[in-house]
Amino acid sequence: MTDSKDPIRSRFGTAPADIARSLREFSKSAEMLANDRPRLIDEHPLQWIGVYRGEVSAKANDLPSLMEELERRGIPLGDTIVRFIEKNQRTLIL
Amino acid sequence: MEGFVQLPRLGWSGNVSFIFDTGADTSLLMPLDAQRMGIDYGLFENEMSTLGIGGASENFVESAYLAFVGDEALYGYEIDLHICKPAEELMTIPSLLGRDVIDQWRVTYNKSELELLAEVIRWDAREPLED
Repeated sequence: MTDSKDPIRSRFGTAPADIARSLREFSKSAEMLANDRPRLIDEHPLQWIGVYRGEVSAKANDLPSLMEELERRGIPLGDTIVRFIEKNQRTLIL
Repeated sequence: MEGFVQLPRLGWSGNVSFIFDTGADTSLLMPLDAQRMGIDYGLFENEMSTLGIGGASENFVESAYLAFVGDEALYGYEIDLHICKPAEELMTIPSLLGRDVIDQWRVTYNKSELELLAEVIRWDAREPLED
């Protein structure tokens, strides 16, 4: 383990506070996806959605179209959660 | 569980929302997240075969830095990240956080409270946060 002066910055090339801020905002999007699934199924059934800063920022019927829409709107893909909203959530055994 | 992922050799980075998977030996970046970040699969050099419920699969393996934010600090880990090759039937599956990272934490899971708590025990890098 290391806890030297600025190990995260030297590894990531990004200020730790910026990474933390970005991760906390990103987690809000993940929370929204987990908590609002019934609403998302009602509003966006069988659609691809992009969630940015805790809100659905774009939707489309296929993944390439969603990516294009997110880029067109200038929404940073690295900070966006992309998910397909299935009417009946499939059982995953990973 | 959300983490910041960086592939230093390729200069790629982004946030990823992982499924917490204690059954996975290693963390795995799925095609949905790889495509979202515009990863060029032609740049990967190392492949490895892995075994899961669905059978064997061929993944790329790339050195990666992962960071997770806690209440008071940012914690960094260096791992060999597996990157799943793209396939249409896999496109809706989220990326997996495996035991290469989970083993560094003490974890409490309480579904009734929608709570997954990870206390960091070990790290490769740590940066205190001021806020």
